[in-house]
Amino acid sequence: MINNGMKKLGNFRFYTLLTFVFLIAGCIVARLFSLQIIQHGFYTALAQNQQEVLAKLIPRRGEIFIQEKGGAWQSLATNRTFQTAFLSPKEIKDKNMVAEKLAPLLDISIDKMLEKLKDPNDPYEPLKSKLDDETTQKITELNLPGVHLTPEDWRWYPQGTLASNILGFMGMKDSQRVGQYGLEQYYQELLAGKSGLLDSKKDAVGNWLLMGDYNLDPAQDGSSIYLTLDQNIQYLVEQKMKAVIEKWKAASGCAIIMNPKTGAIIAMTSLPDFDPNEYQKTENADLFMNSCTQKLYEPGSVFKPVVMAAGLDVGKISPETTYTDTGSLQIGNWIIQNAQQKTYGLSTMTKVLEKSINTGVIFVQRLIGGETFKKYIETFGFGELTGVDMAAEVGGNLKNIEENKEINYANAAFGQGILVTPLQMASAVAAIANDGKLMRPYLVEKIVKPDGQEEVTQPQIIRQVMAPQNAGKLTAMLVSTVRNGYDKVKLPGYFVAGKTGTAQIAEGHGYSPTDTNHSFEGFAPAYNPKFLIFLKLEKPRGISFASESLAPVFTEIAQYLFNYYEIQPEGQP
Amino acid sequence: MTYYHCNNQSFAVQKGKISLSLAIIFGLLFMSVAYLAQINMMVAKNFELRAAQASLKAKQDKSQQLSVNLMRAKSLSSLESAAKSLNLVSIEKIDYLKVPSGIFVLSQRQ
Repeated sequence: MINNGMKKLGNFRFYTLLTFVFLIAGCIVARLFSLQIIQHGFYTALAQNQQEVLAKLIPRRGEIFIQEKGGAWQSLATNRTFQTAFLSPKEIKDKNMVAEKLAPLLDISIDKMLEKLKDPNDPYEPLKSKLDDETTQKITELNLPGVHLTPEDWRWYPQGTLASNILGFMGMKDSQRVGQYGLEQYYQELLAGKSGLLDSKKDAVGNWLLMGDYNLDPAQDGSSIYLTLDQNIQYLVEQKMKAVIEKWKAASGCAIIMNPKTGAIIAMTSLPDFDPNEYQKTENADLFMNSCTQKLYEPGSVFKPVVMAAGLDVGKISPETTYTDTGSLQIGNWIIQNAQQKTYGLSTMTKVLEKSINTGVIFVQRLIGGETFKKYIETFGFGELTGVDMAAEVGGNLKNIEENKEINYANAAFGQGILVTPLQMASAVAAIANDGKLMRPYLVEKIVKPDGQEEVTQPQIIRQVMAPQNAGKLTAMLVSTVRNGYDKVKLPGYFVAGKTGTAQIAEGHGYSPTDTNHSFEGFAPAYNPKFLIFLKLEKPRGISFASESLAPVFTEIAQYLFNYYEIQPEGQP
Repeated sequence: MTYYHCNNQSFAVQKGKISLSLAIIFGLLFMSVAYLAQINMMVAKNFELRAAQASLKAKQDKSQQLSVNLMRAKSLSSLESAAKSLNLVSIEKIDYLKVPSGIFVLSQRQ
């Protein structure tokens, strides 16, 4: 009986243990089923995240350099590591203290700071990017709990506003930083390089293990670009233009300095400008555009040399050809007058340029005929892109002369009714200076690839727009224009060719009775030109003519360039 | 004679087996020690690498800071303010020396 009882007890214990073992085993199997089958995806991803690296390798963006005399290059756009401040609210106990100490440093209101700190479980709350060195130092010294700094690479423009309308900036597009406006946009692909990819393992603390099996597609750094711009000239031109804009309360201004023989742009400014380091602070997005290449205007009398070029080249006029100016001209129902209603009587073609006689250029336009006139305008590059290496260049508007109306041709002869860019105008005059050869204007002298290989830009002739001997005759006429027309251009010892323009501005169906655009174009030394200067002021106040407003600026810039390039006086012009 | 020979052979085999076992044991021991030494060395090198990386990063940061300072110092706005504070004046006009035409020789005075 006892044995039987003991045996039953033994069996009970055995089955209890067996049941217990099966229960535990069942639990383990169920848990494993859950982990390995049901939540397979989640844990695979978790493990991959802990052990594997699949990183996009960011290439280093190429730099942009500006040159100065003597072959030195200075950085205009580079990459710089800035600190970004962020909060980890769950680490912060005394939120008021942190907000009060941090808010004034980061120029954020205390309320906004407390708003960022309100979620106690929030592990990351960004505060401010691109902190300056001083702020970074102060935050580090404060050593506040839950306040962290992390390095981040940004584009940096060490010269601030210098050439900002040429450079553009790095903006955000589709959550990515890309070049916008100017060279940053035009050369985006070249500057950006190519991203790489790393597929590898990492250790327990997150360091990449570049041993064993890994796939590495290295990033290709961007190329650097070296500009034709000279920083000293660029700076001087910007300062002079800023001063003249302020002096005459002009709405805007632009200036181009170019080598007429090559088309290389030595300086170009569009004002008002902006600081590409803080482009977000610019309220008017129009300021990002470069008015030299993106803004159309009616050029006015600076266009007259193009009409003379056509007249000389088709052989209808010579500098000595005469006609009698009566002060006005009737075309259909329209009466065209000279500026200030002046009458000049018997005048040579040279005098037409010297006195900027409207009826004189209409006389030339009528001699050559509408179709030929139109053909020359197009040959000089108006109505098409100059091909400059800048983003979003515009090509002008010649619709008026396409209508084949006499009044429109007459208006175009003195630069009204057609829309051109300042760069088109500068290129056309550069062609006159360059023996009739129209050059493609360009800003990049060379591109240097990450391996050091250089790609040098070669000057490019677009076409021969007029015969060299006719270009020479026109140059002489323009020298005479400066000598006899503009007493404010004082450059003794140098032959300077030039022409001013004071253009009316279209308003509604007519022209503004008060506002004008002033332009000045000129090149020197006239018979072996080293530089061309084109200046424009939009709506200056309290001054009537470009020969008054811009001639002094032209003189100052030209004198600087004579000294800078060590161009000796040629004699007594 | 034959028995003696057999016994002798068995002893030699036994001896060989012992030697082999010892060689394996010592080999394993040696490899373990070598492995430990290697691992130790690798860990030490890893620490050195981390230290070198940290030092490199610090030097790169310093280098970047110096480059930034240099760029700032060489910027034209800085140069202009420096020129103003030193009372430097800009060149208004250059007078070029007139070189007489024709061939001439400069001789040293006796």
